[in-house]
Amino acid sequence: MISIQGLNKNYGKTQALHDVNLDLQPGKIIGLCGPNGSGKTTLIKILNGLLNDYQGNIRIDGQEVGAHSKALISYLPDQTYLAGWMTGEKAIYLFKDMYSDFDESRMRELLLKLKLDSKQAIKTMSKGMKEKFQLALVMSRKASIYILDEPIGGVDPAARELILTTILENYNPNSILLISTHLISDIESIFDSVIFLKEGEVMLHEDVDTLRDMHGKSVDELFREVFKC
Amino acid sequence: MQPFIHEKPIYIQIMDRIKREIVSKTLVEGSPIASVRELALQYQVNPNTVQRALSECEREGYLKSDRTNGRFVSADETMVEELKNKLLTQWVSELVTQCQSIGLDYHSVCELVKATYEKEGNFND
Repeated sequence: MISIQGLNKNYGKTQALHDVNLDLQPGKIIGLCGPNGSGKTTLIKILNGLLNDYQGNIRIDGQEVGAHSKALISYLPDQTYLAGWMTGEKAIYLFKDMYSDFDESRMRELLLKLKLDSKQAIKTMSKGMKEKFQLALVMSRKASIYILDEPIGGVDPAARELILTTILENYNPNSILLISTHLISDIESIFDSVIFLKEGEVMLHEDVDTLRDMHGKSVDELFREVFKC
Repeated sequence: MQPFIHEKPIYIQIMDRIKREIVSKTLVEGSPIASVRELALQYQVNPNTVQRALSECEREGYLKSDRTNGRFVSADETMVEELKNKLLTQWVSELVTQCQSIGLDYHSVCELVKATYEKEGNFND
């Protein structure tokens, strides 16, 4: 479904991604793990068509990154992208207008579950509320690929559980769910496989239960070993 | 419910949990098993992991599924007894290994086991 071959990306003299090769299959929840600056967000931006000056070959559902792939992917960026003046209602209206796979009734259910008020302006929401609101928007699309960039980064541990439940309850089991994170221990139980990214290179891409079996360690512990300073 | 540890494959821990429930008679022959989706949400784990655990339990004969009844427990009395012995052997062997590693001899371990049973108030020889 997503095939990446020989992907390289530089920011000036800095190499952000180095010869990345990945093959991601539908029906899997994949953790994209790496410390800050390892290239996670760069890779995600490339998959979403937000960065075009890269070398290599990417195929999403058999096609190059473009209008087709953008329609397939429901993307949660690592930063707020909704304008502050906008109310939640306005954002819902925009999503309905932009994405034919947006399910408004699911969005309404999620607002209730996450205790969010859509009449509120985005700028008056707390950081945690903004994150939950954007996650609700993204999970309300019936997409074939979900890419979530640090979905639990800004919320407290109690809210993390709620967010994980929201993801598990709402993702389409036949889709690809790619989740970037550096908070591995909070989320590793929902992964099928993990990708470790170190200084722009793929160190490992493996089934999580295979890793636990092979090393007798949690993915979080392995991560700490691979990325020890 | 005890959370899963992350040092051991989660599908094996789910299998152990089901087996323990069979041995403790929380689940008996014919008891229905919740759907993969429900279990995934309840355990907060990946649905594929639950699927794998249930398939393995089916392969080992503890669960069965058919179109009309869904998935249910298929372990009969003999299998439950066998399972009980298997779990017991496993736990005792873990206990013995632990005790040996700190140099406890057979008699002190037996004394400890006896004392613990008495303390818990369900000692009947």
